[in-house]
Formats: sequence, structure tokens, C-alpha cells
Amino acid sequence: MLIALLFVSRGEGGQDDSSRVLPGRVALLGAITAGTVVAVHLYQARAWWQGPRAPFRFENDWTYALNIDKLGHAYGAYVLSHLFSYSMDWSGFSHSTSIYYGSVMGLAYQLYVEVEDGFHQDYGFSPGDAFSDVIGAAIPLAQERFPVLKNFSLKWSYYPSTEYIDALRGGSGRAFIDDYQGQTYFITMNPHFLMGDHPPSWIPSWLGVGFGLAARDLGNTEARRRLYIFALDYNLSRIETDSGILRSLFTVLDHFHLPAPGVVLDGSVVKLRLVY
Amino acid sequence: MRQALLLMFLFIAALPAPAGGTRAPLDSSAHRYEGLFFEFRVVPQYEVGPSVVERGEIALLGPGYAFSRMCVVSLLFATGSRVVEPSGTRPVNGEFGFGGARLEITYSPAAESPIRPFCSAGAGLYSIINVGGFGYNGNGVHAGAGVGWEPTDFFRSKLGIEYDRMRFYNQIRASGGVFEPFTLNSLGVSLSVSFVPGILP
Repeated sequence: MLIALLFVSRGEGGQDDSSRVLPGRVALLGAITAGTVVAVHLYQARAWWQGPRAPFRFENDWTYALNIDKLGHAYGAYVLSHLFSYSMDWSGFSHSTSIYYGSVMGLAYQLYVEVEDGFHQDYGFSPGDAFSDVIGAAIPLAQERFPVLKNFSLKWSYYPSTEYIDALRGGSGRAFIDDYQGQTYFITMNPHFLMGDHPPSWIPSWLGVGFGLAARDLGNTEARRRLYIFALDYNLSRIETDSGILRSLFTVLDHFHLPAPGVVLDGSVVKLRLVY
Repeated sequence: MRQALLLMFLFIAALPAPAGGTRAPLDSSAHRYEGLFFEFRVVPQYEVGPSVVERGEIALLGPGYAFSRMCVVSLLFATGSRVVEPSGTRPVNGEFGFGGARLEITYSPAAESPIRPFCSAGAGLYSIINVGGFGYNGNGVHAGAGVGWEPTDFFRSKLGIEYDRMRFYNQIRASGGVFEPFTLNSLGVSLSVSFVPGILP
């Protein structure tokens, strides 16, 4: 996904709405998308769907992984919508068309995964996951409708948990995407829009703040808990550069929370982290 | 579910009003209302029927598409809970988690007023499952009516009553007993809000 984002992202916001579809790029991206969907399906079939199939059913799992899973679904739909949107933008579709169908395709893919879950005995179609998918896919549309919302982003950071590393050492084929204890989801904000037309010059334009949520000890019903994180963040897209490659790279990196100083609230304990 | 409700309300509350606060007088041009939207709905439900006391609460969220100002289609995912009291006609009782998905079509007359009545009909698939993972699959039909309010271009709200008839015919996990299909008849009051991006391809 990273490579695909880098490949197609423009590194800057909207373009004019004049449509100039490039058939070669559409064909190329269509082939890449189809190949990627098949590859991801095969990966997921191996990682998640090897258990017995069952009649389709809906099953609530709101409390699973202390909601980190739900944040992951929202983030996944958000990133996929951006990816499809950037792809269509690169192929020459108008900006509004790209945003619109980017969200539609991002949501469609996420729901396809959920439907497949519905046929497996270990999972079931989770309405909560679907709720999160819908919210994640709606965010790019809301940001387009209300540009002030572009000052907010969903971001993700990951550092493998001890449990996950131990499982790998033990020969487990566990997927890192299920390592909820290693994941942190952030809502980040560019604070400059709150400071009027002339923000203080000593605050770099690329500096932001983020509020994050993580979970620990999920395997222990007594000790499982949420962590709340308040950390600095980077809005690299706001760094001015003439390099298209750098702009694309910054756009991709802005989907992730990169290590920065922060404060972690772990139960009643407040911890200062130079890097989170 | 509470977290989802809170997140949704925060999301809606965070939406700033467009320049001018509210829209200019309604534009009846059809294209203005076409396109994708997202609807969130809460429905406290009560079972209707002789000597039966049941209740439930569901929240629905999903995308929809407005073909015109008069006709919209929605795909709504449902989550919630349902308490089924013992009954001579029911093979189940206790508290169940409720999940489902429903395809719904809504019609509103093309009046120029921001307040318009609506009626809706739909069909869906549903499951009720208890904490032990035992439950039932079923399907059902839906009907609703009420009043819609469109204060701005990007926001719609509806207040109405809903009737759902759900037939559960398939055990999700065998209970070991003799299973007989059963029907739930639910009446509910619905309150919904919709976000309309207003972005057309």
C-alpha cells in the first residue's frame, strides 16, 4: 500500500475539475488494483479465513481488542479511500470524481472483507466493523465538503509488541495487523488554522499535535487497559518543496504518525516519552 | 456501541456550517439532491403482540444514494441488543446481541419546504446471538413513515416510526433441541441524521 500510495500520490490537494482521463494509466492502475485485490485476498485467506466456513451471520464484537480493531477499520477505509482517490486523480479523472469514487471503492473493499468474515465460524459479519468502515470512508468526503477538516487526519503507528515477537519466535503465522497491542491510532491536528492568518513564526508550519489510543495486555482480562497518548506530530505535506517525489513521499508519510515526543496516560500513571 | 454513537455525534457536531450558516432558499433543481450520503439512525424497539414483552435498541449506519429529491436508497448496517422474554411461542429467551443489514427505499414528496413527510420500505438480513455464541439467522421486511427536515444542503434529519417483521428460521449453532422458526414484530421510534457531502462526480 505504501508503494502504491507513493506511486500515485500527487503530494498536493485538489486540481481543477477538468477531466482528462488517460486510458493507459487507467488500464495500468486497473491491472494493479485487480492484482493487488487478488493478492490481498489470498493473503487474508491464509491469515484469517482458514477456519471452517459457516452460514452467513452478523455478530457484534464492539469490545474486541478494546476498540482498537474498530479504529483500525476506520483507518483502513480512510487510507484505502485516499489510495483509490489518488489513483484516479493520477489517471486524469476530475478531482471531485476521484474523491467521490475513491471513497466508494474504499468502502466497497472494506465491506467485501467483512462479508467474507460473515461466512467464517470464527468471525461473523461485524456491524461495528461496518460502522467503522463507513465512518473512515466518509471522512475524505467530509474533508472535501468542509476544507477546514483537512486540518485533521487519522494516523497510525506500529511497534511490534513483545507478545507478537514471542509468537513469531514460536513459529506462529500470526499477521502483524492482528497485533493490536503494537498499534496506536491517532487523530492529529494542524494547530495553525486556529491561530488566524498570522500564526507565530516560531511554530514550524509542519508541526502538529495528535491524540492517540492504544491497548495493552489484551490477553489478560484483569490487566487489559487502554493507553491515551498526547504527542507532537508532523505534517510533512506542509513543507514546501519543488520536488514531486518529495511531495509524494510526504503525502504518504502523512498517513502515519512518526516518532515524536509525547505524554502517555497508562491507567493512573503519566509517562513522558521522548519518542512515541 | 456507545463509543460508536459518541464518535458519530462528535463527527456530526464537528461539521462546520457552510458560509452564511444555512443555505439559500431551496433550489429545486434535481441534481442538487443526487449523490451519495451517509445516514445514522437510532431506534428503540418494542415488540408488538399479545402477551409478549420484548424490547430492543438498535443503531443503524450506512451509505445511501439519492436518485432525486424524492427517492433515495440506503444500505444500513444494524447493531444493538434485544431482550426476548420467555414465551410459549418462542424457543428463545434472554438478552441477545442484534446485528443485520437492510436495504431501504425512501420516498418523499417533492415539496419545496425543508420539512417533508416520508415513507420507506425495505428488506434485510438479521442475526440475534447471545453471549455464548448461540443464536438465530433470519430475514425481515421493514416499513416506516415520518417527517424529514433539511435545514442545510449537507444535513438531513428524520423522525419517524418503524415497523419490522423479522422471521428467524435458522440456528447459528445447534442447541440440541427441536428448533421451530419464530417471528418478531417490532415497532420503534426512529431518529436519524444524514450527512450529504454534495460532491458529484
